[in-house]
Amino acid sequence: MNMQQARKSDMDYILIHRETIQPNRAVMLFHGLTGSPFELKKYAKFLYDKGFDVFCYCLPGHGDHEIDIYSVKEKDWRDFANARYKELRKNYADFFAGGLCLGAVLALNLAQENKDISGLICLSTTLFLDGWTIPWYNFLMPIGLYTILRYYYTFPEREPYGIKSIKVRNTISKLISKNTVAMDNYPLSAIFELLTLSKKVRQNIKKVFAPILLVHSLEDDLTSTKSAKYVYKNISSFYKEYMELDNSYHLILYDNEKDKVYNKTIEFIEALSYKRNITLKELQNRKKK
Amino acid sequence: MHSLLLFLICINILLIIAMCFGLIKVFKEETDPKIRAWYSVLLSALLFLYLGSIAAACIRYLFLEKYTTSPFLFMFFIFPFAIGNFASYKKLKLFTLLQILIFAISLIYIIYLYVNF
Repeated sequence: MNMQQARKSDMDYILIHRETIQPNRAVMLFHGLTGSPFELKKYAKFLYDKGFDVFCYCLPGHGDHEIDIYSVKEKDWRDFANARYKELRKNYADFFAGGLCLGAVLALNLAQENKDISGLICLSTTLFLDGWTIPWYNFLMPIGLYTILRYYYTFPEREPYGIKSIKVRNTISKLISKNTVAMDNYPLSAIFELLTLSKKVRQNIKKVFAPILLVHSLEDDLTSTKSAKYVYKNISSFYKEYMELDNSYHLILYDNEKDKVYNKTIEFIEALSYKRNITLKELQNRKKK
Repeated sequence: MHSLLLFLICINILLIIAMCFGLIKVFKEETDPKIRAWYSVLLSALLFLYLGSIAAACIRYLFLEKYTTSPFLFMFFIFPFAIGNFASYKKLKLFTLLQILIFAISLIYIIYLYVNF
């Protein structure tokens, strides 16, 4: 397969097959809070090799966007995702959306607003901030969130950086210190926006009808499995799968069990296509009768 | 009641000093994010104590049947959240100064309550 790599902004990562072999399916992936499309690169390449066109955009508030992380509002993320979705959807028969952390929440929101999404891939969905690295003074969080302090408060990135694998952690640590792949701190104002978006998604959770794959680690350091379980239990999707990992932290696409996540994604999409074909055949048979 | 008001006065003074010091010294880009983080925790803790004491004083004054004092105090409880709601990153300095001003007004009012209790 030949690869055409188009770049809309410096940090966007887009993998499109040549027009002559235009595939019918595509995936749009969103990165996590204070992350970048870099964290989705290998996963995107994997999906591309499996025949998908893959679009990983850098979200507002990140990278070289006009809006910086301190000024970004959750509406900017929603509008951005919707605009990109509307732009791309018409070109593909099957269009999947997914992401990691904030990206997963954004994908859920996209599915609530657009009913024609073929499927969702939600990795380390962050609806609640209740992981084991959340500091003991977390009870002060509401005071920080709802007052002017949210513009001053920053959580410095620190070990374990959401990664259990020591080897990967050391590499990420070096990259973060160079400030090339992710920011070295989380502004509370951005967390406030993530939590606002999460609240909106929770309020409309029944409006998610798209088939969904949820992957979450039992040892997630930022958000416990409560988030994924909440989604699994409350969505209206006819087809949903939930996989738990037991040897990873938050960044499951880079951790010890990344291969499991990669393979599960393809398995989910294939199972979905199979189910859809069977349903189509059944409908055709019924019509014949 | 005297001790509660005295505590409120101390917390209020500390808050004003901490906010001013933060604005002038700590919350600068060149400051280590860890120091900024811990300083923010300190400010949140002070604000937590301030809000808790204001709420306690409000309730106490209600029990003392001083029905005009309680709403005034409650306003100081609401202000930090109201300012937080309207604040934006672009006008952060302005809103921070407004917050400090509100703390200063609340300090004057609490001193007045302490003296006249």
